[in-house]
Amino acid sequence: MMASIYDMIKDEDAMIVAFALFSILFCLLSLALLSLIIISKIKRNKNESVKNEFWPKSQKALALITIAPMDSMEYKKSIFFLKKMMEQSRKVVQWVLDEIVKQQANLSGESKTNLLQAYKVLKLKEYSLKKLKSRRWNVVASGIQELERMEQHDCEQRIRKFLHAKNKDLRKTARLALASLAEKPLDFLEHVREEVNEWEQMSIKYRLRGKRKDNLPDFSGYYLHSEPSVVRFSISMSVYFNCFEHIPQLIDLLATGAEDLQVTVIEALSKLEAFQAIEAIETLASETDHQPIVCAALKFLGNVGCSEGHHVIERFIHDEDVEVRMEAVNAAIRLDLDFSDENNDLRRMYAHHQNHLIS
Amino acid sequence: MENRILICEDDEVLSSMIQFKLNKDKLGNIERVTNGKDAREKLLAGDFDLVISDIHMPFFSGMQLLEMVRKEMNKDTAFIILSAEGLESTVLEAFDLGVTDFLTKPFSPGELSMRVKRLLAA
Repeated sequence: MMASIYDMIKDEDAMIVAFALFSILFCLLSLALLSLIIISKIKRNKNESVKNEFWPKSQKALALITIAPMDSMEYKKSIFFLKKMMEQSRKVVQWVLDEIVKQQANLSGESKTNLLQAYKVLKLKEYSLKKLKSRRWNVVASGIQELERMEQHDCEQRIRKFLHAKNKDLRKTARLALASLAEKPLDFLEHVREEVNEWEQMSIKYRLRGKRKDNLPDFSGYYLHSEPSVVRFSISMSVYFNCFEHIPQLIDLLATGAEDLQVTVIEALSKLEAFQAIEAIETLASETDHQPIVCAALKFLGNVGCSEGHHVIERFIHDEDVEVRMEAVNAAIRLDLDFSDENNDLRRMYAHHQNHLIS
Repeated sequence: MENRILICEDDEVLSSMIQFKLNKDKLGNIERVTNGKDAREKLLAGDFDLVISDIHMPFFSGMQLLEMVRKEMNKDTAFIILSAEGLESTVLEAFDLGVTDFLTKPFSPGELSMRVKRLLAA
């Protein structure tokens, strides 16, 4: 009896000790959290006060460096002022940098040249390059984006090494930057081993606007790439840049590609109005039972404007699939084909099928 | 009498840059606002010879402001729209609403100044 009471007291002691330890730990954690909140608030207030002090004066300086001639006193004074302000903290450096990058996108002509010069004179380029050495991927990515937006073509090699970074978003940022900066803007496609999604494809296309065709790679060289998204992208680029010389390779691709890819190829050939592909596409449409291929083929035949494919169109005009029927009728109308007694009813059929699809 | 120009642009650095440029070229008395609401109040309170407005602004867009000037206030004040998007539909909409000139970003401040000069002289 005495022994069990002793054990109970002993257990209770242990519980009390454990409870006390837990309470101390909880208090310490709360204290640490509170300190963190206070420190971040103080930091934010300090940043705000620096910004309030810095901002009105800097606006004037930033405005002046965009419009004053580079050899004028106003320009030099503004640069000097910004340099002084930037000595205060890294936050100020980042504000000035962000503003210069933003305004550089808004302006053209001499003002843009002034801003590009300010980026160098204020040693902001070094600041962006320093970011590339960071261990945090988002810092590196922001450095790459700054270099890209400030059109620092000489940094191509430094950016290129991030094509193999561990972080996926960093690799994507590097690819987009190279599409803008590199002398051969799509060379990186050779190294791509992951999906280039639609957003990225659009972003690359946007960056290639206005580039000379002879600086671009031979897109047909990527038609057999191991990554399907790269193949699709290359096909779309062949269309975008009107590469009619790629039509034979695209026709070859019809024989080797998977069904989804075949649809993409037919659509590309249709946009390139490749009449040379009529025979291959007719054969494909006759041999396949994959509905999207048949629809794309009928669209192609209607678009290319050649009545040679009329027997294929005629065959599909009575297909049991409503979409196939509609595409066949649409192609027949576009080509003004004469299917004897049915010809008069084609337009009515087309309208009927369209209404059916809408409903 | 000095021309009165109103700049409506929420990007303060850009608007002060435009102000500096127009001041430097002695094109008139320039006032700045950073949102559509303040722009509307200014335009209701007094007459301006020219409005330079960004499309995207807080409260009212540049297009809405233009519509107010033309339809509500019934004023034929010269109006320049600055836009980051040069979409055909946007440009057509602006001209349909009665914009005097349309400038797409990136733009050259020198070119803007020339256009302002031409409009004020007309």
